Amino acid sequence: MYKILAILALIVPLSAVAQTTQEKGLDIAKQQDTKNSGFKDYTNDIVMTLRNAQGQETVDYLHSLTLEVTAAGEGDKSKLVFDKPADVKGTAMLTYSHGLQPDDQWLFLPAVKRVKRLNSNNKSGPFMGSEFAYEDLSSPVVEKFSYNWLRDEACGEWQCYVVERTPKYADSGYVRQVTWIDTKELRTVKIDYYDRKNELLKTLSQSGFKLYKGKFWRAETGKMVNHITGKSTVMVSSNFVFGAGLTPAEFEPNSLQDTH
Amino acid sequence: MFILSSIGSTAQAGEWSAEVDFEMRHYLNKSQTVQDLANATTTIQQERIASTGLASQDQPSVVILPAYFSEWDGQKNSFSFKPFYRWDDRDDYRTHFDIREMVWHSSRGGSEQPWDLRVGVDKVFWGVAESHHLVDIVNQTDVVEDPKMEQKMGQPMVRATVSRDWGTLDMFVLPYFRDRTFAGPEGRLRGPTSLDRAPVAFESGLGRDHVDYAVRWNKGFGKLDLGLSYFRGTSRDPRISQLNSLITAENPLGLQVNYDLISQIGLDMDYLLGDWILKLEAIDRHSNFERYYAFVTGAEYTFSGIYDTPMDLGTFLEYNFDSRGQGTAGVLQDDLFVGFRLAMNDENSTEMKIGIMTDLNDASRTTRVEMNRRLNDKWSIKFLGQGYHRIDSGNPLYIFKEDSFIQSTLVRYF
Repeated sequence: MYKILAILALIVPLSAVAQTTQEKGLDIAKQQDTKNSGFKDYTNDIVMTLRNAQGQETVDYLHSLTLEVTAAGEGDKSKLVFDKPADVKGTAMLTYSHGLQPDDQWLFLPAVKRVKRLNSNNKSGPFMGSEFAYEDLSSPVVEKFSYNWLRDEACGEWQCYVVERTPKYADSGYVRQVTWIDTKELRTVKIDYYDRKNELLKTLSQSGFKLYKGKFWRAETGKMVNHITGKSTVMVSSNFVFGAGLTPAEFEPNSLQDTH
Repeated sequence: MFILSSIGSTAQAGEWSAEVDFEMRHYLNKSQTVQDLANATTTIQQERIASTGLASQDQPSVVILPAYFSEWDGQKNSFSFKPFYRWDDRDDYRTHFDIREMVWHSSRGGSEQPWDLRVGVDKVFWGVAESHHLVDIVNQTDVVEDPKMEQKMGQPMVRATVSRDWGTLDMFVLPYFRDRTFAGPEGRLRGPTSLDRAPVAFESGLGRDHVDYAVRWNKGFGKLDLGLSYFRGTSRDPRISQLNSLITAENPLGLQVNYDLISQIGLDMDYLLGDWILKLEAIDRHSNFERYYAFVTGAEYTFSGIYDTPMDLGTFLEYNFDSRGQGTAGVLQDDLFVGFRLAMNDENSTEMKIGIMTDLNDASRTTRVEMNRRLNDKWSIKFLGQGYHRIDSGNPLYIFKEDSFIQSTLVRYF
């Protein structure tokens, strides 16, 4: 009897304060979101190297502009501009990412100087023939997923939370993703993507993290490997400038005609 | 010394690039002119055929398209220069030079009252539809480039743009008029006689120096993008008239190219409805010669990841209406467009487009097939096929009925 009471005495208070694994996963995502908020805007350059299973490489050069949107449940506004290869130079894509609602997207075609509305339902489609899907590049919004903390484990030199997240938005190409987030600075180190058949499709590994403005971590290298096709894409980001003073007018669809 | 160093710190070196297109166009049939002359078989007429470039169905040409861009003052100011030159082996009138862009762009008004000023020669596109660019009116069409009417000539302008919560307002002063290009006597895709030798008449006494005005307001309302535009000035679309008094050896039909003064109200909108994009462009245009309205409306739907591949297939259905009805002016008066765009989403950005336009009145049909593929950083290839099928004799396109062509282009980037 005393034993039972003693056990109860241990369990009851514990369960009263303990989070479920879902709550813990959500909490980690929220912390990560909070940690990354307040950057206002940044620009960076991207070199994207596509490698097929035979090892042949294609290199694309882009630059990116991002404007923070602080409204709850809303994602950021971003502009991606192609610099090379020459045949797509000046092509630009403007994205307003949202939480559960589909993103708003516009494409700029420089040859005819046309701004064209896109339907963002092709989230699972490849970005520029790379192993990155559009949804992989969309700005992170907590509300986009439901979360489940699985365990803590070592990830390289760091200790990581392993959190599974399930897309709540429509048209995703994934049933679930497993993310490794370091416990100290909440950097996303690795993501496993599981396709609609729940098979491991791709793995993103991020490395070369650098700290900007004393608060915001950005990975220098993101390598996406497709386990089924053997193809991979390495995205190297550089020249991060935070607080570049970007204005909302620079993220109007009209402004795409001035991209260079 | 101080000035020099401050310029050095804010000005970025300009950047040159260039594109050269090597193009071969092949017409599937002999030109109508050649066919007509062949029927009347006198020696003089046969000599006329032999002496013209029209005798051949091949039309090689080369395009040189340099581009210069520089910006300074922390991207507050920029200058863009894009000259254009096409050399055409057959048609001296398709051999032409143009300044597509030569414009200074300045962001002004600081962060409180920002606005944009552009002065120079520039290109502007308005509209949402695929089959017909109805509201697009600022730039003249460079028709000899492509019968699709999508290639535009540079337009001299002063343009001010203000973007606020209430939307974006674009205001244009257009001080000089550009004539439309027409295929020459030895060129294809023209009427029985070339319009290049017909006299040009302007309704305005100022001719090409008449100052035109245009304004467009547009705003996004979430799933809806809305644009309203107004243009007042010389019409970019020529009205062809016929006068016996104008008949000469060079102008045997006595044709005249008229550019009338018009005013036009335009509306363009697209709306996202689930996976669909609904589109509408409409204009109301009037001049001293006619008043009409026209619209193009339709939908776009994209099948993504078809057959478990990375490929996307965009589909388009559009209907064109013109209140002038079947006649010489309105080519797209009751026409249905069906289009497909297949994006392979591969590392070579391979893309294929097919468009079929059918006149619902007389069943005349035009088809267009386009394909683009990048070979590497320096080279890409393009293929184009344009077909005219069963063109009715009452259709304005009847003059093109023998002008179906295929075209390959090899593009080199520098």
